[in-house]
Amino acid sequence: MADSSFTHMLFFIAAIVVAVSISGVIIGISNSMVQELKVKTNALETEIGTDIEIVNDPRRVPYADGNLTIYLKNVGDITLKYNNIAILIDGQYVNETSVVNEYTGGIWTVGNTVEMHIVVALGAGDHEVKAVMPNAVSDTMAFRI
Amino acid sequence: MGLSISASAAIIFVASVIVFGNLLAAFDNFEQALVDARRESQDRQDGILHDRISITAVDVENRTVTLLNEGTETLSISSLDVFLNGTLSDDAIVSTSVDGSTGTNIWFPLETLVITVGSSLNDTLIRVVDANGVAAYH
Repeated sequence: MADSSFTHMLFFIAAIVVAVSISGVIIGISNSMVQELKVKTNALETEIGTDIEIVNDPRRVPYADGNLTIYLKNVGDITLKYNNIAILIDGQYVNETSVVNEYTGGIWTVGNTVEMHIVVALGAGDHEVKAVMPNAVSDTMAFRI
Repeated sequence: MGLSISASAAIIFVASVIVFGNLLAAFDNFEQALVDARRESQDRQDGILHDRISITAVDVENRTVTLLNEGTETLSISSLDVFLNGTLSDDAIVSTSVDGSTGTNIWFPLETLVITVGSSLNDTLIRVVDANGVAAYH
């Protein structure tokens, strides 16, 4: 009789341990899903709220001594960072770029314009500049030198 | 044996309720955030659609550029960018006035904005861009 009770007790404890383990795993997975969903939500919110525009006068884009100046305006809904803007000239990625303006820490508020200097050799004729944000939001402008 | 099964089932049931609640809340937040972001994006697109500015006059002697808000959007003057011969020249703006009122930052539809600049406007390409990226040329 005592053996039977002990066995039942063992089964009970084992069943509870298994149930708690399964529950823990399920809750852990769901927490991971929730965190992932939060990350996706933030990324999507940022992407939808991001909009930039190259606001140069295309009739006369400043270019001198291999230095091209473009002006980018934050026309979206959220404050951006301008540190990681990728610049492509005629489809080619340009590595040498710098941002000149009064803002610090790379903060780029809505409605403000940043000035970018791009070191690139351009011949006379038609060209195209494309600015791409880290979340792939971009703007393109054609111009003539 | 029956008690073991019942207790285990109860634990898993409680865990399932917790998981369901968490996921439901997360999906609800996701949907709400998406709806809010899309609404703001739609508002922005509407703003661009109803935004139109034009340069109506350039007075070279007095160095003024006169613009008309032809759209139905109220615009912010501080967000305007003025390009003179392709160079951003916001620093060259000496003063602005809307229908004769200086010191205002609001530019209502059908109002006239006069921008006075410090540099010469003789044979100058002028482009003015507002907060939505809508531009006027001269």
